[in-house]
Amino acid sequence: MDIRADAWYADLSESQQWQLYAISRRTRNWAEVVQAARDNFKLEGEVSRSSFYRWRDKMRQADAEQRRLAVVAAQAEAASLARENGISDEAAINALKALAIDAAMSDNSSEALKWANAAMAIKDRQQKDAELKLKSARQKTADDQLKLAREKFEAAERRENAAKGAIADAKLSDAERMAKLREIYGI
Amino acid sequence: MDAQDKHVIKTALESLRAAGGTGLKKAALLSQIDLAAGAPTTNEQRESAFALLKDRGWITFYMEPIWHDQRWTLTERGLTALEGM
Repeated sequence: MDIRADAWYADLSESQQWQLYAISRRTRNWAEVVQAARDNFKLEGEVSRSSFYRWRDKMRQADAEQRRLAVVAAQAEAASLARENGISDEAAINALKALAIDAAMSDNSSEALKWANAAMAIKDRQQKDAELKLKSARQKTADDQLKLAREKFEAAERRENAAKGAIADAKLSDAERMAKLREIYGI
Repeated sequence: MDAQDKHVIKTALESLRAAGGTGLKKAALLSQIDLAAGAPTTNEQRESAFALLKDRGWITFYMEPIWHDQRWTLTERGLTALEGM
């Protein structure tokens, strides 16, 4: 910001000016803001009402510009956070960007908190989803093993019944019985 | 539209361009309009600037599917208008 050497705020740092501007957004009383500058930043000299409002208008325009830049930065931050946490779902990334933009545009610190909390919530949710998938895969393996064991048992039972039938069949000769048993057991 | 109005509209369009496809909530857009105006604006003045953006087809809205917020984004026409300013 270009500042005239004789401007009433010429001795205030940029950070002090922004602090003063924040105060000016909370009150409509310009004299109160000037008093805050005298108390906190040792402002001396007279401040006219018109020069105060000219400064305030300039600060408002700079504020609009800063917020616009903050919106771009917030989106990049959200995208980077999503990448770091392995969030690849487009809707989730956009939702994070939306919160980050709202936080950048707002004076309210709870917006920023909301955005940080949402990022954590999405991360937790993804971890839980991954755990559920792993658990479901483990369960499927256990089910498959059980199914295989049951099939083996049933096949053995079928062979045993067939063998019992062959042994009990009086019509078969010993040679025929042996041939039948070999066939049943695949020997 | 005088030079000051044009500056306000341009700032609003630039903010929307910065917000990209994610867009801005109406309240944030109105607050940008207010800040860009320099001096505090009335609700009517802010709404009138917003209506101008909407009526010229420079902005459009969508419902954010996760937070269920209405968000405003720049249209192609809006982008063309901004580039011509």
